[in-house]
Formats: sequence, structure tokens, C-alpha cells
Amino acid sequence: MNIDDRLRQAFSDLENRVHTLQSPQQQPTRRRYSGLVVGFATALAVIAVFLAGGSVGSGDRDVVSPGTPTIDTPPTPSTPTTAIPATTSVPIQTTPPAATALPAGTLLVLATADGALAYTAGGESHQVLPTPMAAVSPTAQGNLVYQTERGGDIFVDGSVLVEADDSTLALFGVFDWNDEGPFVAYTVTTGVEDQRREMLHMIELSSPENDVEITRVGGYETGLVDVSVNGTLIVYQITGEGFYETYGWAQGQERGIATIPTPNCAIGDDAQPCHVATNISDDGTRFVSVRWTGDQADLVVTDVASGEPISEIGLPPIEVVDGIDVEWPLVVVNTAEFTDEGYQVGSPLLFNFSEGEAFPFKISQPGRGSLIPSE
Amino acid sequence: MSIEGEGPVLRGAEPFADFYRREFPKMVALAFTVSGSRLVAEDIAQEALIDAELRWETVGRYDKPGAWVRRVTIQRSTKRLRRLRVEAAALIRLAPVTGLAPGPDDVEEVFEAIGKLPSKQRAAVALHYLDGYTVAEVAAILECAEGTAKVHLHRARTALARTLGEEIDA
Repeated sequence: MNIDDRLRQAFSDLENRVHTLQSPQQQPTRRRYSGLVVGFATALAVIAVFLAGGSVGSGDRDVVSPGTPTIDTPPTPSTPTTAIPATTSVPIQTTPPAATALPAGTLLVLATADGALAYTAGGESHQVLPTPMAAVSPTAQGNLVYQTERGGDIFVDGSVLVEADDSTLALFGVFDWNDEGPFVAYTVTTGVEDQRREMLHMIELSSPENDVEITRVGGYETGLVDVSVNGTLIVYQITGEGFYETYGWAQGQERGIATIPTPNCAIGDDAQPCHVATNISDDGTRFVSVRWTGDQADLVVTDVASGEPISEIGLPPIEVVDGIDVEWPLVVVNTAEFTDEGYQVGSPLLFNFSEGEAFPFKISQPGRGSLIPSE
Repeated sequence: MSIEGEGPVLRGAEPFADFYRREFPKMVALAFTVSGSRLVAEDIAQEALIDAELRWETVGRYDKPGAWVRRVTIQRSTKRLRRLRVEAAALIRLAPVTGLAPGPDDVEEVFEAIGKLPSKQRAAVALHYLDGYTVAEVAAILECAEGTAKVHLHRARTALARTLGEEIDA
């Protein structure tokens, strides 16, 4: 069999399997909700419980019966991303999932301050090693899964960042749900050469005293977390369709210290794909965010204590290198150095995880010039 | 090929239900091929078709509404890639898992190989081998030059033949 026949046969098989799942009477609106409502309304219900001061995981569970959720017929959405009604009744499945084995070959690609990469290979070793970008496999992507002592896994995805100086590697901002609700966790690792890794901190966003309002827009909640070099601050960022908001957080404190607005992305059906990258100055006083829409990026510097923006700048259009798809890049503002005149962007890195590849970029002149491939 | 409103209106809209029944399986297959996720392929297809339904007065009168909904499906599939990790984790943890069931081993081998291709190549392969679109039509849907689409298909075909140990006809 030649490759063309093999591919046609495979696609035919795939399409036929879809046929067997569908009945002609099923309408798209209902089916769409039957999939999404179960997932996201369940998650929303978990969040809502905590926002109301309840606790799912500590024994006084509101709803504990697992099983198939009962979903009322939802209203026809006004847009494809209409939020699920908060009144949707969904039983919460509380059975913790089985521990997920760390797949061999998983790789976590992160930026270090010197423009090189740190990566974590699969297996049980959780090695963290600085490495030149060239050593990264083109297929490098995937989740790292850590089993926590408090139940549930922590999925470390490509959204996490790393900060490093000569002796410290701080990494792993995570947003996820465990059986107690949404939380973030981060690790500060010292002694990179010793490859020592230790989970030091985990903050449950669900705790009422944390004073975080989790906003749900467009049916999604995702989060990003930044860690300063000395581990004194993390920022939790909720992202959704056309909505970004960021919270400053101090280590050892139970409350967020500032709500930091970040640039909104376009809202609506014709919204541009948008990504927000964040970072924190080493001293924890300034926060920088970059909104990346298409080939245009805007950068905002914010005072962490007050939440007030200090300066804004429109970065120049990105010079896209032939063969690199930047449709959904992950922008990492690696280093933000602050001066009396404002700030300088050190060496932003552009990771394109949608292609399973990571490409380093840097700005030829801080704050000006095109993004060009790193050497 | 005219995909969006810039082209002439050539005919009246067919009933959306007929369009849906015909296109849904192909959109699921396309979304699965591009996103690589069984969990969300149906949702992506649904979202794309909802987009079409909400604009059916216009989209339904396009020269090729199927091409329009394919472009939306590909865009949504690509957009989902980055979200998948977090969402899938939550879905697996909090909700019953449904989705496209695995197929025979030889078919799964093909899609495993396709999953290692860049997203544009995955989309091009799906449009060509699932729908039978020509290179020109693939280019129009992917909004790239015909030569670029040809390169996508050529590279994908070569890589897949090598991975799967199949021959390539001249």
C-alpha cells in the first residue's frame, strides 16, 4: 500500500467512527453544550462553592455524588463563547483521579536569564539542566505531572516560567484544579548544579481569605504564574476570551497585594488571537506584561504595590522568520531591568508551542527594533 | 476559490440541518487531526458549526460554505492547542471523559504519525485526504500561497511515508 492509500483509508475510518457517534437528530447547540457544559460548568461549580465559602475537599462537601451530570437544555448562545449559566446544576465528582505516570520523554522548556534554556526531561528524575537552545528537540513539549501531598496532580505546562541567577533557579508557576479546587503552586530551587528540586509552596486560590475573585469569561479559565528570582512574589493571572487580569501575591501572606490590570485583548467574534506574558522585577516591585496580538506586542509596566501602570509602550512588529509559525506564540519576557528612565526589556524569548518547537527571539535594542532570532 | 463574502453569491443557502449532517463528521475528523485531542475534537467541530449557524444567512450563501467552516475549525483547533493541557487536566479530573474512540491499530499508527507533524501540515493533510481538496483549495482555506500549501503537503507526505514505512508514488 502506498502512503496516499494508507492516509485515505485512515481518514475514511476516522470519519466513519464519527458517524457512528452521531444521530441526525442531534443539533449542534445541544451537543456543543453537552460536551462543554459538563467540563466547564463542573469546574465552575467547584469554583462557585469556594467563592461562597464552602469547601469541597475538607469534609463538608455540598455535592459529593459522582456519576453522569444532569444538564438542563441550555439556552441558545448569543455567541459561540457565551458563558455557561451559573445556575447550571452539575454534581461534583470528587473521586481523586489515579496518579498519572510521568510519560517518558516529556520535556518542560523554560527560559533562563542568560537566554539559554532549562529543560526538564521525563522519567522520574525531574532533572533540571541548563542547556543551549539548539539542544532542544523539535518535538519538545508535554506536561510534567507532579503528585502533591494534598491530593491531585500538578500539571506543569508550557505556561510556566523560570527565573535564574547564578545560584538559584525558581520555577513552576502552575494553575490547576485538584480535588479541593483551583490552586497555584510554585517551586524555588536552589543549587541548580545539584539538580535539587523541592516543592516549597502551594497556595489555594479557593481560600476565602485569599480574596481572589475568579472570573470566568467565555467558558475558560486558565492561569499563569510568575515567580521572582528570590521567590518573594508570584503573580496569578486569569486569562480568558478577551479578558486578562493579574494579581500580585506575596509569599507567606494570605492576601493578594494588588490587582493589576493588564491590557485587554479584542473582544468579539473577530478578536485577534492574543496572549499575555508577564514577569516581575527581581526586587518584586515592578511587574511587566506584554500583550501579543498577531504580530504586534504592547508592553505595560506596573507598580506592584499600587497596581498603577507606570509606563506603556508599543513594541515594534515582529519580524517573522520564514518557516516559523507565530500564530500562537508563547511570549516569555525573560528579564525586565528597571532604570530611572523606566525599564528595559532584556531578552524576550518567543516560544511557539503550537508547532512543538521553541524558538528564541530577542529584541535587537531594548524596547526598540525588530525581534530577531537569537544566536 | 471564494470562501468568504468577498466572492459573488452564487446560490441560495441550503438548510443548515442538511449542511450540519453532512459536514459534522468531517469537521470532527479535521479537528482531531489538527488538535490531536479526542476530547475536544467534537466540541471544536460544534463550535465551528455554531459559528456557521449563527451566520447562516450569510455563510450559507457563500460559494463554498464548507470551506469557510473548515477554516474556522482549523483556527479553533490551533487555538485550542495551548489551552488543552490545562483544560484536559480539569476535564479528566472533574467530568466523565467522552470523545472519539480509538480505531484499529494501523489507523491509530497513522494519526500518531500525523500528530507529530506541524499544525499546518496536519491541516493540509486532513483537507487533502479527508475531503479531497485540491492543492489550490487547501491553499485558499489555509490562507497561504498555493506553493506553500504544496510544500506543506509534500513535506507531510514524505515524513509520513518515512514514519509509516510506506512507498511514495511519483
